[in-house]
Amino acid sequence: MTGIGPTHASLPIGKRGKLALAVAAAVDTVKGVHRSGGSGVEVETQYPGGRVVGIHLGDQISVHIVAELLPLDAVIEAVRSAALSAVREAGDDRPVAVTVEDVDVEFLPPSIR
Amino acid sequence: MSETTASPPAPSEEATKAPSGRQSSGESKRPSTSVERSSQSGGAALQTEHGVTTIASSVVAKIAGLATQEIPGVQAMGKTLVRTFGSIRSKIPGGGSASSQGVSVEVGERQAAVDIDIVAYYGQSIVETANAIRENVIERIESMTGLEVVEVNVNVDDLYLESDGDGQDSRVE
Repeated sequence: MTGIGPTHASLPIGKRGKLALAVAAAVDTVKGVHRSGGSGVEVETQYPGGRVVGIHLGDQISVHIVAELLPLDAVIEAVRSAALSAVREAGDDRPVAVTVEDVDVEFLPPSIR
Repeated sequence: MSETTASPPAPSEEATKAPSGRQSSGESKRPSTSVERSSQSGGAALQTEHGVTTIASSVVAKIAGLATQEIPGVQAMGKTLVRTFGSIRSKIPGGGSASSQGVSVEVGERQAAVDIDIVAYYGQSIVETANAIRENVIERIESMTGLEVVEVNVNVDDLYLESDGDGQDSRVE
């Protein structure tokens, strides 16, 4: 028989994990991007029980993406505003920075490849 | 042990926050920035009018250890020598538990300070791991014990390469 107390796995993931997951979820709704850990040491946020790739919480909230759509301006702006609203919703006032790590040419129309 | 009168809880080495002039060993109040240490037992005493709640420092150490192991970038805990003998030590009665291995704490009446030794995985941001540990340890200790955590020092003692191949995998993914 186990105890009735909270189990290890059911403990809250903390502010850090919540914010990173919320930003990731917001970014993932934007068409034409996916999150990326970058080419070197992965950009990520660790939290109890897991990690979120492509999001870093520092002095600013960094979002790293691979674009599958052009022009980049529109993609970046969509990611930035999605991430920013998630950050503000969480009651955080840090700015959001978007880094385009790569452009995935597979998804681009043949005419501009 | 139990109170027989309505007099303030008077017992024990643990209760240092005794009212009216009973200062433990003439120790004067420290500035609030440093850890206010309680007496010899090194436990946190939360005093109410109906008794004292004492949280031993080993409890705080265990919470800190478990909170650290929840972070995915942590491969193991403790300094090299301690890790080598850790498995033996945990089998000896009173030898300390594995969950607080690599943790040392200083616990006062209202505050705690924690030092943690870890082994991190190679190939990830160590700074990120350390920050995640720090935040989680503070969050867990403060929510479970009510103690204010004044500092969490993370010492990265070693790096673990997957190719080291000593047959030991991380217990937490």
